[in-house]
Amino acid sequence: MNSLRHWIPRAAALLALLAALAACGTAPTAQSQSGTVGDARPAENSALDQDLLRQVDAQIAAGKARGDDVSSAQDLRDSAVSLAQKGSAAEANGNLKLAAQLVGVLRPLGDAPTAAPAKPIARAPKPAASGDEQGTTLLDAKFDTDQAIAGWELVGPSIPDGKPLWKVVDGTLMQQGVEGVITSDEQTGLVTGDPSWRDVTVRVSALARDTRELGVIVRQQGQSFYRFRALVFGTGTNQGNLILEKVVDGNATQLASFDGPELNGDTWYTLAVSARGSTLRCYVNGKLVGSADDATLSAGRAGVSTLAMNGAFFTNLQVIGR
Amino acid sequence: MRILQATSSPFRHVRVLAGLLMAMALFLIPAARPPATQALGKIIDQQNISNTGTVQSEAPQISIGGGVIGTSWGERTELTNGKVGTDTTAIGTPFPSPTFFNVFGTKVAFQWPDTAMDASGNMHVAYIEGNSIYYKIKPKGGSLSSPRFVANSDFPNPVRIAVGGDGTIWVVWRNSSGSSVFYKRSNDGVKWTNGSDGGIVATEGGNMASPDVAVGPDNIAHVSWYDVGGTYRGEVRIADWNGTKFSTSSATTDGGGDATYDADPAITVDPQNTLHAVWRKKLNANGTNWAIYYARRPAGSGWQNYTNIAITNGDAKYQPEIGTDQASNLYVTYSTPLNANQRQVIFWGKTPTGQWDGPLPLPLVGWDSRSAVTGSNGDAHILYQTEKRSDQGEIQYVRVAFASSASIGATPKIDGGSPNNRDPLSVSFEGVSGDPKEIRWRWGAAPSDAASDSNGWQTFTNPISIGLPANIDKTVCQNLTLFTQVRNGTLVQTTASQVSLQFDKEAQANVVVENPFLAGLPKATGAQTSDPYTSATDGAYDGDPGYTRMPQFFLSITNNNDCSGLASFIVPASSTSDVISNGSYEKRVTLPQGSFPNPGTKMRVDVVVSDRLGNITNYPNDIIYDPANTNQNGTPNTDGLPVLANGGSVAADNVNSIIRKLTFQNISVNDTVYGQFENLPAGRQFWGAWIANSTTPVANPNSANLQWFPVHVPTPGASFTLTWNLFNGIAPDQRTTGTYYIYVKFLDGAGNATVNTLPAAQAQLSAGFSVPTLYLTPITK
Repeated sequence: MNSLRHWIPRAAALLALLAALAACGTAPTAQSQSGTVGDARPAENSALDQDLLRQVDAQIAAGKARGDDVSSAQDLRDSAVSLAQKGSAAEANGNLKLAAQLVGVLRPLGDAPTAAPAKPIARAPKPAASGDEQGTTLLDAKFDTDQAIAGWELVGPSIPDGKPLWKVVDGTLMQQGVEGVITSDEQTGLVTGDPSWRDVTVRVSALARDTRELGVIVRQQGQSFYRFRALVFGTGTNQGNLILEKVVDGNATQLASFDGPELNGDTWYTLAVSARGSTLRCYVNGKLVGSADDATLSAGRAGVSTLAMNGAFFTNLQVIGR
Repeated sequence: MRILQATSSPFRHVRVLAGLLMAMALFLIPAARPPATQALGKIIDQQNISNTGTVQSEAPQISIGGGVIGTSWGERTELTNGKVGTDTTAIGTPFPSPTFFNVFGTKVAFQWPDTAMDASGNMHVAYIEGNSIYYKIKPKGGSLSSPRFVANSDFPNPVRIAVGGDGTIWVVWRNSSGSSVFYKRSNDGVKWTNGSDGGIVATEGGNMASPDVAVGPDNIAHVSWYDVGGTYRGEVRIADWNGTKFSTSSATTDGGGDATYDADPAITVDPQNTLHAVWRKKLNANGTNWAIYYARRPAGSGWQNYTNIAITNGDAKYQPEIGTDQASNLYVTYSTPLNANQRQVIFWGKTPTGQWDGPLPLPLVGWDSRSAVTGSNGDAHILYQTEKRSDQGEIQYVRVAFASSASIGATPKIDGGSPNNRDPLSVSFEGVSGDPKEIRWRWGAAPSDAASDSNGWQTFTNPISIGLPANIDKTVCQNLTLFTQVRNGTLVQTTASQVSLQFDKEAQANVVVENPFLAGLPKATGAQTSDPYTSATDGAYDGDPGYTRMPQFFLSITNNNDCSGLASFIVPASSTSDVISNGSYEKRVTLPQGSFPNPGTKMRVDVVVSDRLGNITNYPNDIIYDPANTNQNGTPNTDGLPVLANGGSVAADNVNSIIRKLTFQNISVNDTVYGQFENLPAGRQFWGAWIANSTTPVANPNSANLQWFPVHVPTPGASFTLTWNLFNGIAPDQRTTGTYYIYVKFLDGAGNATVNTLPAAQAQLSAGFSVPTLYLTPITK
């Protein structure tokens, strides 16, 4: 009897350790990962797989309980049910299997790791001041609601596939490609403000995820403006990644190129350009990277720019000056 | 230490407990995650095919037909002008430098070209200039044609092309607003038509984007696109040709929700006439996660097997692509982000009965984006746009061995080409696959275990030295075929490869060294037919080909079926050389020994002929120098002339015709040279007669300015007959009735003539004399 009292607690501890080990490995772990998304499901073309549906529902519920983002899986699951009701069983089961993969009920093809949902965009730090901000704050855009960009104007070349889409997403201004789905290499910008703004500093926090450049616009009138471009996918050297351009009636001319490395992705930067008289100065994280003189454009609105390929985020857009 | 208290074994409880714990451990710890399936694909070839440096090469397309790979892409040289790049190559051989042509008024960033190959290996290209679509064809082994107009449209972007097995060419495109997708088709690339629908695949008003076209083995065309907005927002749309127009349907009907929006479909049709589609499916509102999605539609059935192939590591951004091959294997490519600066193209493959296999990451350059894929015999052929630096795109080609049966092979190539004179030959190999270790070969037939010219398997090297067939006559130009077979262990090349060549080891020529005074020689060499007797050393324009009476000979060189063509010659003894133009040469050449060769000697004349391959062949000849003057270095004499003995005669018959038979009797001619080499007896040492006509008797035939004609006597003797024309050498106004006087000298082989003349023969021509239509043509100088 004494021996049992000795070993039972020890066995329990060992069992607890084994249980903990069992929970290791991939997460989320379904009760059973039965096959891959490539496996045919029973009666796949004629009826929605109810067994799989139950498993998916269970994992969605579990995910919600953990606070996971299961919205994509939920949408696909709901779409599967709707499609099945309309008689599209094959398409329904396809969407259901994808939902199952997202919540770990089914393995991906080739057992390749399922890409985790994109991390939320980190909160932008306080913008870095350059010391060149002189005057009053003429604009302090917050991007807290969709209305924040009501009346803002698109600038840039027309794109045959559609219109570049700019949206307010979680407190940021996000460029979402063309019509929200199409990737284009063309420039796009969004501007606002007063056409009479003359000597101003335009400053913005910018982050690139899956896009190739971030930019700031100053003295915009129609399709004419100055644009400071900071490349994320640039030259791979210390030259040619920071570009100051003049755009006149849509035609861009490089005024200067400043030394500096490409920007890192998924990193907040403070980009700024000041226009004082005919002198334009460009800043990255508060540090002057270069300047140029040009007297073509004397006043105009301000904004941000990037490529119309989705993945540029802006916040803390401010215009200071007069 | 506690002591276990047990009634039996003190360790029994421990053993039981340990066993239970182990069993529970095995139960609770989940089975190890199954190892990732190894993709079957293996990259076996890779090449940058655009190589345009800092110019942006983009949006590649690829197709295969007739064993030839065809490619096209856009070159963004300017904002509104650009170029189309194209390239073709036989499967397994490197791409040559591409061909570019300008396009004007084209926004290359959107107005991308496309290419399609037909089963004969011809490449069909569709491209855009401004608001017009054009077509070009590049026949197999040929060059791109001039442009053929297809259609006008409002900023078509892009254009896609496909060719059916019946040769029908289909071109589709969207317009500027995407309100419609259009098409044209043609049987010849010149005349482009449409069906009863006015050339419109569909009009859906929702910004129709990314059109694609494919033609099935039943020659039915299928078009795909998706709608950015509108009624069919976010759906994969399909149109099928029904003989007169297209009818539309949807491959996906789950709408354009945040996790169900479908975009950028690409289609292909396999040999079983199953339509396959791949597209990207948006998984969240912000488009930061996408799935690469697949489905298929067997002929006569609905869409099925909806499968998520992969989820990209971020924004998929670019259209995935799909291709197939003769065995209905499927190939899919797409681009996925790696980090802020890099994207990588990924490959997946699927056999008809297997699961999707992958992912196989393709060689990373930088920002690797737009791709195109097709297949042949189990290999995927892929193009993708790569940027190491922004806007400096290149087009990368990769070949992936996916479902090809293990194969081994090497295609021989004769170094130096054909014709060829190397012995042994140097043979290089192209399209080497399967890592051959050994080789065997045979001339004229495939090698086997029982028969090979390599003496069985030898170590494979590239290149390798291979001897010519043992039993060929190397003096003649001839066609040879070499068969080679390689192996690596038990993996043996199934069918021997072969290469043909013309083997030419000699300069094959006809070389003639002969008497420069022969009748019939080209006038360019100064040959004549008749001439007056002006002196004792004056000779006839004919004779024995093997003799010459002056220190020259006639040289003729012509091509005797030399493969590469004759190039030049040397006569070393004469210090003479020259080029041979147009395959022949004719000229008088100085005898060896210069201007004063030894009279009466048979001289060796070697003519060394070279052909264009550098082969050198010596053609030995002989010629006998028999001048009239045998004292070349001192006081000239005429000892070399033949001598006519007295007592001979010639008489003409009495036929009243210009053609007479002359009868010779008691003829005796001796010569110091002619006849010595031919063993002609005394009195018979002459080659022929030298005969002249006159209408009046002449006292001295040697100074009467008569026209003397050489006539060969095949068998010299004391008595013989010749046929003679009384009008030879007679001016036309004197050819009348009357008496004709015939004078005869004799010639040696070199054309030297006897000083003496036979007594003249006479012939009467009376009124009504006959002039036969076939006769010895009277010739005047």
